[in-house]
Amino acid sequence: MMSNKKPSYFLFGLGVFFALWLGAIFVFLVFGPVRLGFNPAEFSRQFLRFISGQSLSDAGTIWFRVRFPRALAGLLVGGGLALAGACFQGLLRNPLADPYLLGVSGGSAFGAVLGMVIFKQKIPGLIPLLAFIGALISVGLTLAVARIRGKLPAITLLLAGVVVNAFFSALVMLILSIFPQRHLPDAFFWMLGRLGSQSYAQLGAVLIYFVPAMIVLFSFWRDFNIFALGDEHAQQLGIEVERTKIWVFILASLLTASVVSISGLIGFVGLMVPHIIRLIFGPDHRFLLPFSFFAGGVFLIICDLLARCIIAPSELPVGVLTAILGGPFFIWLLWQVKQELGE
Amino acid sequence: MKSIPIKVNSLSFAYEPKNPVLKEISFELKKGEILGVIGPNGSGKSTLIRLLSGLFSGFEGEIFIQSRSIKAFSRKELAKILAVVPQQTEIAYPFRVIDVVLMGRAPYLGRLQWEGKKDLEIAQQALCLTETFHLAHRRVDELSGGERQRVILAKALAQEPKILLADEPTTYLDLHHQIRFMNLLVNLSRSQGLSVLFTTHNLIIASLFSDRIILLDKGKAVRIGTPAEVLEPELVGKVYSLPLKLIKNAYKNRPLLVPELEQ
Repeated sequence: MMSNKKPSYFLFGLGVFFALWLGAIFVFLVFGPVRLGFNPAEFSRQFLRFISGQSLSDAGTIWFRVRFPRALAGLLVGGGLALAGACFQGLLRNPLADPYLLGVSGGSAFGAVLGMVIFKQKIPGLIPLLAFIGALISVGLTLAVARIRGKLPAITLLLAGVVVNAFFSALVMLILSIFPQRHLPDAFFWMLGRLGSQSYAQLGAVLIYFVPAMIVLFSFWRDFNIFALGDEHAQQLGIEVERTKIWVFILASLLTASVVSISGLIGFVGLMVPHIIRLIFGPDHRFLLPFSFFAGGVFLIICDLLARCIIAPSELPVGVLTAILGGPFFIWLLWQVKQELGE
Repeated sequence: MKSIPIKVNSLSFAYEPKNPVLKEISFELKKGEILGVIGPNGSGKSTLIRLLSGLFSGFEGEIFIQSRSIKAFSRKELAKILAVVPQQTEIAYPFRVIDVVLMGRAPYLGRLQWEGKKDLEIAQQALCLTETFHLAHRRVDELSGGERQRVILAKALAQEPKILLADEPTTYLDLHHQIRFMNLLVNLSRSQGLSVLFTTHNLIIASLFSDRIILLDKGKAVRIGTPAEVLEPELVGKVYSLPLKLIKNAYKNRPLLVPELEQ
């Protein structure tokens, strides 16, 4: 009975996902629009030169100065969005919740772009923080608009999220149009979300916010499970519901903001990945949260690999690909929810 | 001194000022007792359950759980003594029955602590007591209403409570499952010494399964006593604004009230 609730099963799953993670990084390094061939001896020699800070060959530069930071950005962004999606879905008891659809991503992008205009990226750690403030404003707005008599019906939540997202996206476009400065990201790529321009320093700045938020969110797994019973029931089971909800909103917004500040608006990762993980491993958040994090990273860098190759030598913003996959997925999910409600 | 599971002294409560839902209610729930609460819609039955489960603190009067003011409890402490079965539980994701029952162990577990062998044993025992052991690995969203309500009862029992509050637990059940659920409550109170307070719209269920009954009318407890003492056709008929007829001698000391229809 309950054999799958053993820590050994959990550790085995984590191991498998970690292997998938490494595998995805490897694939991302080796394959791409520029054909490098793969020579294991040369690859390891260049890797050693890279970590000891020596100069690299052309292939080594592509592997470790172009593709590797991009792969890491993909893992962070995809993992962060998927984890934030899983958290919002658990909190709101709604499988349609997602940082992009809730407007959190739009608010983050607004904060980040405003920060880039004002501070010109002189303080890299500051941009995620401003994105975070934007995220809190937008999620607060969405929830305030969507709330009807203390409840958050899916329909008003989605409508409010879409409107808030559209509003903040328009503000981002406005800023980028008024200040077409060279250090600002290209509006087209920013609005559709892209990987590839992130430096190691930027990734490090994101990690300062990302890692603590992620760890604390993981620790809420049991609360998320019990939220499935409803707010009152959760309180009667000893959960401090209001306090927990506020923390989760803050931390999931922080997670979203930190990754949006380097990638722009990538949609639907937070919707699709947790749903698929839930289908495979069940709804228990002790598995759902960490597995979504790993799977989100793998999913996004595979998407990015495709986005780079499909129209090579030019490349698509990866957000185009996730939205092309995510749109139909969302409609399918909505259909499922409708069926359940119809019963 | 033996502590009384629940003691309520002149309890009043209003969601909005000037619109009191409960007015000066006083009663005791004794150990091992089954206390039924009846009254028309809006008489304050559900509010009473919510207050007793510690959801609101803005009430007047006093609620003592095992001789200690309810305000002195943390949520976790209260959840170890008192468990609630709501009218209906919508479970948002397709958890398995055993997972839901194990959620009842939450008050006993630390933030990062996994359920251990003991928790699993307690959950299995709760499944046995509620006749749901065979459902352990089924998804809760695939169960019938009666099965799901017994699973929620099992989850409540996994909390190892001394007190069980049930808010119209049989409303959505068919007759078979109504009686089966109420029989479970009676067995639990007799065998485990569990004290039960439940609300119902069904006067027959209230009469058959309660040791004592509270009759609520517009937030006031108009009578508290044994079924024979409370279920008088004139009194209850007045509260429900409906002529009622007493069927005598159906069960000893268990009066049955049925609506009196015009010919």
